[in-house]
This record gives sequence, structure tokens and C-alpha cells, in this order.
Amino acid sequence: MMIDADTLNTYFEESNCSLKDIEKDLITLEDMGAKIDIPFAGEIFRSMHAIKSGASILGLSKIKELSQKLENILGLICNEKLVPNPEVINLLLQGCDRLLQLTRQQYTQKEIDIDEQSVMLTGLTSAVLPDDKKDSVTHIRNIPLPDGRHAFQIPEFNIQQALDQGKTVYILEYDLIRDVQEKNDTPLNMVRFVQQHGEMIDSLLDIKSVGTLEENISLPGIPYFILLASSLTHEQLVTALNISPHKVYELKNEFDDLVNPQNNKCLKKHCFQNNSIQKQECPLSLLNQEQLERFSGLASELNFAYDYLLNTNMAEDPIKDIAINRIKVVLTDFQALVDAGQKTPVSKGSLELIRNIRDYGFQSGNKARINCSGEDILMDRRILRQLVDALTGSIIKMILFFSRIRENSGQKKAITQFTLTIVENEQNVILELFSPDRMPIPENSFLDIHLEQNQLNSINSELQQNQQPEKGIVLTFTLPRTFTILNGYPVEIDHQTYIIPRINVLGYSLRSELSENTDLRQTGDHMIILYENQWIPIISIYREASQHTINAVLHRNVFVFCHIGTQRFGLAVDKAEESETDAVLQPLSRHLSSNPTLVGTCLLKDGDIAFVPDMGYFAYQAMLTKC
Amino acid sequence: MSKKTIAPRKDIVASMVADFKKELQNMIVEEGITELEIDLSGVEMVDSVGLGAFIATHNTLSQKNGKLTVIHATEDIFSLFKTMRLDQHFEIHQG
Repeated sequence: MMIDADTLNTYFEESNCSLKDIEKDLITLEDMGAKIDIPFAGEIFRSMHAIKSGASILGLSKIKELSQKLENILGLICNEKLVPNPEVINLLLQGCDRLLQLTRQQYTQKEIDIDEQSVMLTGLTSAVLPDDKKDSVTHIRNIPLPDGRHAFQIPEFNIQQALDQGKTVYILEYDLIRDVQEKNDTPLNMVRFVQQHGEMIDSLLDIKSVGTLEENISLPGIPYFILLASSLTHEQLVTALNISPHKVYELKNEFDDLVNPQNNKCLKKHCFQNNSIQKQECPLSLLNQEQLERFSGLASELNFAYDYLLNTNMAEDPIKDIAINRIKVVLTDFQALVDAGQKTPVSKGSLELIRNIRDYGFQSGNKARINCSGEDILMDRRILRQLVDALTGSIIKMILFFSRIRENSGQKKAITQFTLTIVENEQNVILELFSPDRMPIPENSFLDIHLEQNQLNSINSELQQNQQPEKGIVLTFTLPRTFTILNGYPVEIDHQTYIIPRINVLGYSLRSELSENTDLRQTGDHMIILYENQWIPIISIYREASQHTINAVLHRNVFVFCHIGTQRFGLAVDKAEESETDAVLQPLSRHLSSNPTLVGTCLLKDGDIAFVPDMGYFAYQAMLTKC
Repeated sequence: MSKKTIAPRKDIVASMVADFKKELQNMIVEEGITELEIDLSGVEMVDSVGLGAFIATHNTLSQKNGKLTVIHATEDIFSLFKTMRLDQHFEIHQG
């Protein structure tokens, strides 16, 4: 069975969505404490089970192993053998984080280590079982094979879990030559096919019967036994696997001592109605990431052109007005396409926020919970990321503020409740954050949210605080509904940061790696540089932009290769960052209209202003230089 | 103790196993190799007969107190060997 890339991608996307839901549900479960909502816990168990089953079928061994261990813990919670206290939930959340990492970084999975999570989860499973069952995690059970010569040796707990889930345990007997090779199948396909019909607890190859290189001239057969836990009956399994009934052994009475009908109240009743991954509502963009970035860059270019045309002191010209209107029409559609790809429900951000605050509470002992409303509003995911940072910082400051007030007034520590409401109007998305657990706050006492205000300013947004009699301290976040976001590479010239739109950058060369005459040459008053076997002009943006001196160019540390359409040129800069930057383009170019080299300004995360060079202008200059 | 690495560079399937096994046998019996490393770079598939070749090599080396190591296995082959618990008999490293 070939697993194609689409199937894998679908699995990873769905598992990702599912894990985010599990994360949220685990925090809800934590809040329930000892009063466990069994069907709710069963839902979480089922989601984890679906992730494990998928991984099993697709041969993703690390995901399968870790999700199996998480499922074991969830099974104990479902059976009320384990209370989901903060420590237990913490382990489960850490396991989910690692699973998320495995599903997100699918191509570097083998470098991701799961040992720590595995050991912790196994330890927890063992620790919480009643004394008479504790040993089952480490206690090895011998399950003899039909040939009587070999036996499976399995931790009793694994059998117990399968029985608790209402499954039957079977031994399947295959001959890898007769049942696989002679049927033009491969062992891998056979194993994956079996895994689609149950959980492979263990398997065993009779390697003795294969013999050695000397004796094994013609291979008689390779016996292979599988210990399978399946919800199917013997007859159903024989039909599904197309295997002789004599080769499927049902282990009926072997585990009588492990069967306890009291123990499976959740799992039997609820957990196996749906064995496939639950369909999540994952918002999938019409564009893939690469296309999205490309379109995003083009939309930025178009925005610059529009902005430039609007603010250039050109003589009144009806053709200019027509051009502006046509660009606006195209830009609106273009921006809508990009926005659709980048938009995500606020609930994604609020989930991250809930988790951040939960983890802060777990580590510091200052616990808090947030109720969010308006989570279906859509926001740009890049803006949401920065908003979550600012919100997390603000909430932690509020938690500490309230905790100090409690301490000073001799009150006990308590969980602080927060309310976050999100509304939108035509221009803005507005978030209001306050704590209904407000307490008497000294007049004119405010939070120090300077850092968060700077963060918000960098995305063209505002954060204000005030005191209201009915709500106490209220933080109000105001974000514009639409942004022009620039994906670019930051470069530095004369201690000034410039952002070159991502779409214009071809690459970099360090001055130290270039040699004169071979890579750099002077032609008249200009310098040219060799890029991909082609000599292209060097342009500079520094202070004395009009006085191109050869020395000034030669003393720059980096050359950035750019293009506009077919025009290529090098930019001489002091420093170039390897990283990409998302910055919000500020519509300030009207103030800069006298400077032909700039089309806009960006506010960076640290509050610094970056300038966006007009690449079209530079392409034009490059063309003149060439001539 | 002498060590050698062999890299078949093609799928370990029925059509090539007879020659492959002869080569392995020569190394172990005639050259006296006891630490054998099979490099699976470029190997995408192992069928049942191929699997038998690995097991027979392991059995032969075990009789001579030798050791088999498989390196650079693809994720699929690594997963197959792990599922079949062959990693309990000889070392397998993913590529």
C-alpha cells in the first residue's frame, strides 16, 4: 500500500486541528477537577485514539507510540481511575505539544525526541494504578503461540487497555513467503493492512526457521505472528483480512482474570463508534503557502504603486485618475484573495492565550482562567500572533496586580477570572479585557503596560486602559480591520533600517567573499557586480544617494541582489538580516512624497521605524546606469 | 574481528537475493568478516525474500559470535524492521 503525499498531508492537517481541540478540552477537563464529565473525557480519548490509529496505518511510529501513551492516560481518566489534576493535565499537554511538533515538522520527525514524554507518561500510568494493578505496567505476561515453541511477552497493562476498550485479542499466523510474497505483496503492505483492522500489540518473526546463509538455499517459509486487539469478531476479521480461519486464534479465556466489567464504563459505550479521524473544520486556504507568499508580495507592490500614485505631486491628469481607480479595483480583489488565505478565526489565538495563561498559572501558582466571546471573528494570522503576545503580557500583569492586592489585604490566593470580549465594526476589531473578580483598587492606580502598548503600536494598533466602576481595570485593544502587511528582508544602511519587499530579493553576497575585477568592476562613475553570470549595476540608498562614489559602494559589507520584472541590480548595504520580517505598512508615504526613493514606512516589533525603498525607482535608476 | 560494509544500492527483492546472499556468504565464510554493516542507501523496498536474507545473515553471524548492523534505512524500511521486532536481534539505523 503506497501512502501518497496527499493522504499524509490530510492526516497531518487533521491531526493538527484535532490536537488543538484536545489541548483546549484538556484545560476544560482540568477545571472540572474530580467531577469528571465522563462523556466529555471520552470525546478527548476518541480524538487521541483516532490520531493513534491514523499514525498506525501510515507507519508513523513516533506519533503512534506517543499517542498510545497519551491514550492510556486518557483511558484511566475515562475509567475514573485517575483525577485530571493540574500535574496530570500538564503531562498530557506536554505530550500533545510534542505530538503537535511531530505533525507540524513532518519532514524532520526523526530528529524530534519523544523519550522524555514517553517515560513520564509511562511513569504516570504506573503510579496511578491501584496497588494490585501497579505491576501491570511492568508485569510481563507470557502468551504462548499456537506452535508452542514461542510466546509473546507483553506488559499486562497493554492487554488490560485493549480489553477495557471492549476489544478481542487475536493471534494471527502468517507465512511471509506463502501469504505475502507469493501473492505479490510486500511485508510492509501486509502489516499496514492488518493495522487498519485493529491495534497491533506485538508481533514476532520466527527467525530460527529461516536458517543461515549456508543452509538456506531455498526458503521454505518465514512464520510471522501478530498479536492483534480488534473490535471485529473472528468471522469479520477472517473476511476482512482474507486469511484462513485456522490462522486466526481468538484468545477467549486467557485473560479472564483481567476482564472487569466495572472498568470500562466510558470506553465500551462511547469510544469506538467512529474509528476514523473526526472531521474537523480546518480552514484550508485556496492558495498554498508558497502561492500565498507570492500573492502577498504582489499585493504589497500594488499597494506601493497605489500609494505612490495617490501622493505624488503630478499635474492634474485624468489618465492618472483612471489609473488610480483601475489599480484600486485590482488591488481590492487581490487583497481579498490574500486576506482569505491569511485570515484565521480569533479562536485560534484565544486558544493559545488560554494555554499561555494556564501554563503561567501552573508554573507560578497564580492561576487564572479566561472566558472569550466573539471568537468567530476573522483576523490576519500574523497580526493575531502579535496580539496574543501583547494580550498574554497584559493578563500576566493584571494577575500579578490582583495577587498583590489580595496579599496586601490578607486574602487567600484564588483563581482570577478574566473576560475577553471581541467585537468588530467597519473599521476596527476591538477587544475588551477585564476581570469580573475585581476588587477595590486604589484610585489612579494603573498597570504598567508600556511594553504591550509598544507591541500593539508596531501593528498599527492601540492599547488603552481605564477604570470603570462596574468592571474595574479595563484594557481596550483597537486593531484596524485591514492591514497592509509587508513580507520583507530587513537591511541596514547608515544605522537606518530598510525593508526590501520579499518579492524583490534574489539573494545576498558578502563583500568579504567578493574580489575586485573578478566579481566587482568599475564602469564609468558606477560599479557593476557579477550575479548569475551577468554583470548588473549597483545602486545605493545611503545618505548621499545622489553622489554615487565608488568608495562608498566598496565599503559596504553586503550586496543584496534585487529585481523588478526583468531589471536586476545590486544594493550596497551595511548589514542584511537572514530572517524575514512581517511588518505593517504605515500609510505615511504622503509625508515622504518629496523623497523619490521611499514609498512607505513600517513599524517594527521593537518600535523602530523601517523605510520601504521604492524598488521601481531603483530599477529605473539601474536601467539608466546600464545605459 | 574484521569489519566490512556492503551497500547493495538496489531494492532487496527476490530477483537479486540469491546473488546478494552469495556475496554475504563469501564475506562471512571466506573473508572471515564478523562485523557486517549493510548500508541501505538507495534501497527503497525489501520484500519477504529480502527480509529472509537479513535474517539468514543475522543467524549466520550469530553462530560466529558476529554482529549485523543495518544503516541508512528509509523510514518505511526502518518502520518495517521495528514493527517486526527485528531491532531486538540486530541494530538498525535510519538514514
